[in-house]
Amino acid sequence: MKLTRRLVLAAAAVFTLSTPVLAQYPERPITLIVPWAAGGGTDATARTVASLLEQELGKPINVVNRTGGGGIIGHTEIANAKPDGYTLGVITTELSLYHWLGTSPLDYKNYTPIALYNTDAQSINVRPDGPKDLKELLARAKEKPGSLKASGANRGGAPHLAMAGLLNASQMPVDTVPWVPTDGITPALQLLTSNAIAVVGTTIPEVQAMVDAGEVRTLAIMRAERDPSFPNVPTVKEAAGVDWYLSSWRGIAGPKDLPADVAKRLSDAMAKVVEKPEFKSFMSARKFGMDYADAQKFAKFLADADERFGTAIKAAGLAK
Amino acid sequence: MQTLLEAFGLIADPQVVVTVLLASIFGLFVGAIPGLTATMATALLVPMTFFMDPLSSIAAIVACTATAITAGDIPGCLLRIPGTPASAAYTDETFMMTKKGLGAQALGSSLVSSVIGGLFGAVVLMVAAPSLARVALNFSSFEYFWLACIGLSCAALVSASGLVAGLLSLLIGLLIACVGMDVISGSPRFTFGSVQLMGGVSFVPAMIGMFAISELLDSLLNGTARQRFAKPQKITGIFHGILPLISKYRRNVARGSIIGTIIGILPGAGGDIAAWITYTTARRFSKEPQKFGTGHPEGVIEAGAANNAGLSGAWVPALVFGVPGDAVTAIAVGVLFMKGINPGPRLFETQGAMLYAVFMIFLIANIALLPIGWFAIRAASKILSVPRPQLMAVLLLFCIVGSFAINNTVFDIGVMLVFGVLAFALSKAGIPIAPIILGIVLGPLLEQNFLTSMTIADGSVIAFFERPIAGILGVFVLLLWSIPLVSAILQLFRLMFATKPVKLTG
Amino acid sequence: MSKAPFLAGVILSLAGAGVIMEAMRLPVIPGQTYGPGLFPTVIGIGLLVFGAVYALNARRPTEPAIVPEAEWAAPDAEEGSAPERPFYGALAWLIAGLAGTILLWETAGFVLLMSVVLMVFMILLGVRLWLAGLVAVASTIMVYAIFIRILTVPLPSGLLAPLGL
Repeated sequence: MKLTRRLVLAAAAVFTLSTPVLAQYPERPITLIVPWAAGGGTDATARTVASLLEQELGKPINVVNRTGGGGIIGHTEIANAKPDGYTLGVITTELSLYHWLGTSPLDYKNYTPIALYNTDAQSINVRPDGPKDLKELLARAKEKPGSLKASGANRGGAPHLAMAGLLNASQMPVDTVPWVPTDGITPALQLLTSNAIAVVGTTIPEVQAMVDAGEVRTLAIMRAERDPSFPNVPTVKEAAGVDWYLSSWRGIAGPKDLPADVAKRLSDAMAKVVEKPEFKSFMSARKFGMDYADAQKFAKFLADADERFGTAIKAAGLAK
Repeated sequence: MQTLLEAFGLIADPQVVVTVLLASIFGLFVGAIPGLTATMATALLVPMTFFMDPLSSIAAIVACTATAITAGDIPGCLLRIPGTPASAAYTDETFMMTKKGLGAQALGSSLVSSVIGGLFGAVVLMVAAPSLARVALNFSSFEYFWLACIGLSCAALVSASGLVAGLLSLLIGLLIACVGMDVISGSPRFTFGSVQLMGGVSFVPAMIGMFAISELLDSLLNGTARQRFAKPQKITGIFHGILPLISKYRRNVARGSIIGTIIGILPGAGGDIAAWITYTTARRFSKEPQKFGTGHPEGVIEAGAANNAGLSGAWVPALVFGVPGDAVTAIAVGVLFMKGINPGPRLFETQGAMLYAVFMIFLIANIALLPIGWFAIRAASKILSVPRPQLMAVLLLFCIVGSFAINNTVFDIGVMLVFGVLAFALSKAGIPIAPIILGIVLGPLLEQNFLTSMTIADGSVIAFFERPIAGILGVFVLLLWSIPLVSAILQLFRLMFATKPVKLTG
Repeated sequence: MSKAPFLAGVILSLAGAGVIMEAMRLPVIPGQTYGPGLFPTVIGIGLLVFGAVYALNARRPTEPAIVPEAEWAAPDAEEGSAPERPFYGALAWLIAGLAGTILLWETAGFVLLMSVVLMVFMILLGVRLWLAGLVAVASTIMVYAIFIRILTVPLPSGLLAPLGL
């Protein structure tokens, strides 16, 4: 009898001891899930953000790459994590696509948005001996459909979609330039330089080193107006008279129903992170587009992106 | 010459020297813990590099990787837990040596050959990086497909248990690689509705299970779980026992270094394939091939050299074109960018001194490996004198933590257990384990490059022979396959005719 | 010869057939010559054929393809003491302990779980109680500290969280 009472007391003590701990979030290391492989653009930004966020929160942040399935694995894991603030993730463009393509029921409503920190426009790249401008590329493709092949990501990935959207906007069937699915940008670039395919669609920072090396030439950027970081690259509209633009984006989010105080703590920390000189110098060194939006604006951005990408996918005939 | 002198000046900085030393020790520590990988060691270094100058940060990564990979051989050899897919090629060989009491010798000779291979790779990197990188860029999916074929063939051909057992093992590995979301089409395969399996079977937990847990199960069922793990280890002086061995197998060191450097330059699974191919060539050209698989150092020396030579090789495409070959160089490229050093051919002109300083760090890190590694080996060999039940308990602890740490998920502990039981059953049936590892590593490479190539060639098989390098590799693969095929057919004939006489004698 | 290789061959062969059937159900991707079903089918055929060959070989006494397991155990046997009887208790505990670890990971926490699993494992192998306890608790706490502090791996603290571990 005495023993049970003691046990109850002990349990109660344990309970009361553990409650206030919640208030001082974070009290242990945080896991940041990256749905893409180490070495890619998303991974690089995630590691930078993680290390700076670590300074703000005072607890280690472990970057975990959960790759595969065109990012679905990682995104699913973020969405399914316990909403306690100890598992967060980087969510990317592909989230705006999955449910339209029918590859996963996931959409932005499965997450608690924390901050948008980057947007990058898609671009069209060829070998130096390839078509001299976008107009010529499209003309060649129209002349001999299927002769020029393109790559840059898996089927239904943002680069694929950007390409399909471009072809669609140019009044061409999407299989005029067949898409060669690969596991990311590195094998796609390898295919381009080894003369196995003719076009690579991706964001400019991903190919910057190859462009500097003279192995790759960027024909056009899919933006409404020129990117101040790349003033020499024409927009699609300037290069070929086609009205088409599409941007990739990256942001930090947690699973749905993150406690409001945790979300606020994270959002406030992110607001400081994007102002840090380390973040700015990293982003500009790697030529990533700096575009910050706080939790509320990010939510709005996601809803808007979802709608725009949906329209694009349907137009390209990829919607399920 | 001017740049070389400048580079010397850069690395003479005490901060750089101290960083190299500390990073080496850190790499050694992480690498020697069973289940932790060089990638993890490198990733952990990244936040620290924010406070270093550019050269120190790269020096830290280079030194840490080199020691972590070499230290990864220690648990593989002593306790049968390979640190990397590459070292899985010779884990069983070194473990057999440990059982004979020659563990320190196995590790020592692999250490020395690793250092030689690493130095060779670093020198090649210094002399010919830009042109080599350009060659690597000529490899398309067609060439990669054939390379994956060569790597896989090696595992089956080298299997000490016979071709059929090796092939079965390889097929199991390839099947495991199929599990999860198919990259090309996005359709889930063999996931049985599990979201955890969508990402595929995690490699490290599977490897820990197949080697370490199956060994544990084996000792429990054999009734050997309370006996000494291995004979007392004979520790010879490095100049006494190791160097004569290395000079005896100098051909292997040379061949391993060259093949390792060449294959390591290719972005992708270069380093892993190299270790397997060289283990096979060592056996193929050995005077005593029957000794392979029983604790013979020859293959270990060749594959060890290739392993570290390939390590430098992986930096070539990373530095010249910003195309990282593996997870470690991928992290390094990120750090380079952070420090305002943009990989690319212009790096050689604009920051030549800096670049050559990095190359020199390669040399220094490899030389530093010798004393640090030797010290670690001597210290680690003492572990085997711990009574076996306690040793196994602590081993189990590290297996569990290592499996968990790779993706921070409990599911992977289950993966470890399942694969431990599977591998135990397979080895009881005479099927080797090592080829499964290679199957898992190369499966995606093989399949993705095949399907990608087929899409490019509009379904024409001839395209696999149309490009010059692909053609040569393709013909080589077909020749390689025809050897056992022809001998198998001959054997089948012999067996058919031999059936009756057997019955007579039986 | 031993039954195990024959059995393994048969099982792998049957598994091959299963893989082929599963692979047939995988979707065909429009615009691609070969879909996600191709490789599993090839692997399935391989398992089916070579599993059968392996099983047949195992039945033939003329085929000495299998390296005897005895070579593995040889160094142990040379130690002088013959192998003892199998440790079924420790084996059962090992499997049960790992299953329990997976189920109770978050709730019980790393230190508590591992200490118990390792301690009982060692006791079943004949280690004295106090020594088993000491090794189990000390190694677990040490590993926990290293992984949490230096390697930043989020191991769960579970029931012992109030102790500040």
